Amino acid sequence: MARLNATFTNFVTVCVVAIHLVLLPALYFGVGYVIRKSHEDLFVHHARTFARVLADEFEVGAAFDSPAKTSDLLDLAVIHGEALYAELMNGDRSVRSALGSPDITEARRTDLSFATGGDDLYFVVLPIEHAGQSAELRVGFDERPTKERIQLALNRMLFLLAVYLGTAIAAAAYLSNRLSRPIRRLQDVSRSIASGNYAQALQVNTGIRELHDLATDLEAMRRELVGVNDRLRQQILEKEISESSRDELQKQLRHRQRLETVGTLAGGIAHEFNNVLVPIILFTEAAMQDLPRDSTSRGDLERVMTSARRARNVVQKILTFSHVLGDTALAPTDLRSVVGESITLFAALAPPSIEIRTEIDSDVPLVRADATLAGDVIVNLCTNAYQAMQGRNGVLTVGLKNSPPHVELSVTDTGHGMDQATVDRIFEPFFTTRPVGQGTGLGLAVVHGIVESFGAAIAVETRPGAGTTFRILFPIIKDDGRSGGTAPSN
Amino acid sequence: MRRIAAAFLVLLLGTATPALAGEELVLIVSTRSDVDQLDSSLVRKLFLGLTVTHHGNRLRPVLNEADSAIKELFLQNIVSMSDSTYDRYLLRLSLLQGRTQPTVYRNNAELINAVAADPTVVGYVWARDVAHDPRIKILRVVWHD
Repeated sequence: MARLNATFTNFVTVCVVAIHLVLLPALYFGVGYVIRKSHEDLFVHHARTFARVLADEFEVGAAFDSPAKTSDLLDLAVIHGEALYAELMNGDRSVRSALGSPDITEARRTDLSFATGGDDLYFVVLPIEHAGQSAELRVGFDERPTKERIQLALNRMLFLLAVYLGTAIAAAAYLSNRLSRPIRRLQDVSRSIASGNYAQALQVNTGIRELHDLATDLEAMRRELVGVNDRLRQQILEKEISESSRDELQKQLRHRQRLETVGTLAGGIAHEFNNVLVPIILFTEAAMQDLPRDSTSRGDLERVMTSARRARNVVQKILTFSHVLGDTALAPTDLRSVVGESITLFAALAPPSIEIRTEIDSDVPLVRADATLAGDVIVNLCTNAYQAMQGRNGVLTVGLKNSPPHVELSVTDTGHGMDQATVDRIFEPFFTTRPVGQGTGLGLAVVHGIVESFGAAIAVETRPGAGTTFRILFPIIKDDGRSGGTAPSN
Repeated sequence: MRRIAAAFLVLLLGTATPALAGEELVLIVSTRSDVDQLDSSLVRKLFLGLTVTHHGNRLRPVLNEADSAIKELFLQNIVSMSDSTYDRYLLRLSLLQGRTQPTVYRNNAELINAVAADPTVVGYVWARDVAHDPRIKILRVVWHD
């Protein structure tokens, strides 16, 4: 597995250095070889040509004729050439230039290539024939200037290669940094996105097409991921809402089943209790008719009648509650007239401290309901509101508003309001906040049952000390006589 | 590094150059040739591609590259040029003047046979290679140790 401790810049720089460490020595020795050969070839050619010209001069000229002339020509060779040694051997007789280097005591045999012999001298030995005589010209050339030129050229090349290497490393570092900068930018943004910051766009400012295309593709991918994420989040939210709605519906179903159970039980008991009350009331009335008007027992019988009638009212409410939980015959109903009649009835019973207001729209459509039961609902809610404001001045507002696809009936009081614990239980049968004997706890339970039998919904808005508003939403009847809109949930 | 390279170069040249003790490089022609003597200037002209005739016959040079020592001695003692200069010279002669370049032999026996077969051909070999060859006539000693 590759090591991951090298940055892009370091990697490129090291690669460039490594490549140059291989290539530059090869280039140095290759070019150095060419330089060396070129200088050596030039030197050798110069030495051979110079020696040849000198030999030709001896062969065709007069310098061979006397030692003085020979010496003069050899001196000229040293003066005008690069020769450090010039000698003419004629048999055993030797004439040698006195201007040559005194360190060279004897000429070596001929050199066939540059820098051989180990003495910085290049010897050319040429045979000479003049006027039937044979001689040998020996010329020694100084190799040091050529060697110095070669060394100077090699040093310059070494310097240039070093400058080139430095420039190449700097250029590699700069270019790799320029290449890696947008990559690092993409890396930073990717990490930011990975940490949850989806809003950050994957954009880089670069002129390199591949990196630009990569950034564009990654940005497209980010947008797609963001879209998928949003959709998943929406689906999760919808699922949570759905589950919450299902839980609410199940809660309502259980509540309704409990109400139905209680209603069935209460209805059975009420029916039997009603059977008991009927003879009590009948026989008490008969007994009261038989008793003289001044009988002391009449008062007792009247209290029996009063209690029996109250018991009958309770039974009647229970029977009503039980009845509405079953099938209820519904018909198109004009709630405006129902509200008007109910307000009129309630206003006659309400104390003067209660101000009754009505807010009724002029164009309230028909709803499916039972007019009598709807009136009971309004009266019950108004009674509840009056009791909430008992002992104080207050305002009772009954509203009827066309709010398609529903008709909204509202009853608002300025009473003491309720806390949440009370609100949670107000529709339960026999639940009451009033002292024992003053309330049956059936009023709002009957209201809830009636509203549900209409396919309507009831909601409560209340806060302790801030009054209470009951809102009932009735589905509007469509033209074909069916209820329109969705049945509102509680 | 440079010292090592220089030492290596010296060693390489030292091994490439054969020992020349007692050797002689001689100019040769066929015994059937009527050429008996060529002075150094004519030899030089001949191998520089210039026209050299003898009794109306044009002489033709052949080059011996059987070993590096022969080649270097030829370059130094006959044409007095460096290797690359002589190559450039022959190339220029061929391209600009349309002259035929000398035939090059890399084997002494082949060169000797070529010289022996043609009286107009002039070549150069080690003296020991032709000392007892009746087909070959030595014109002059070009170089001796």
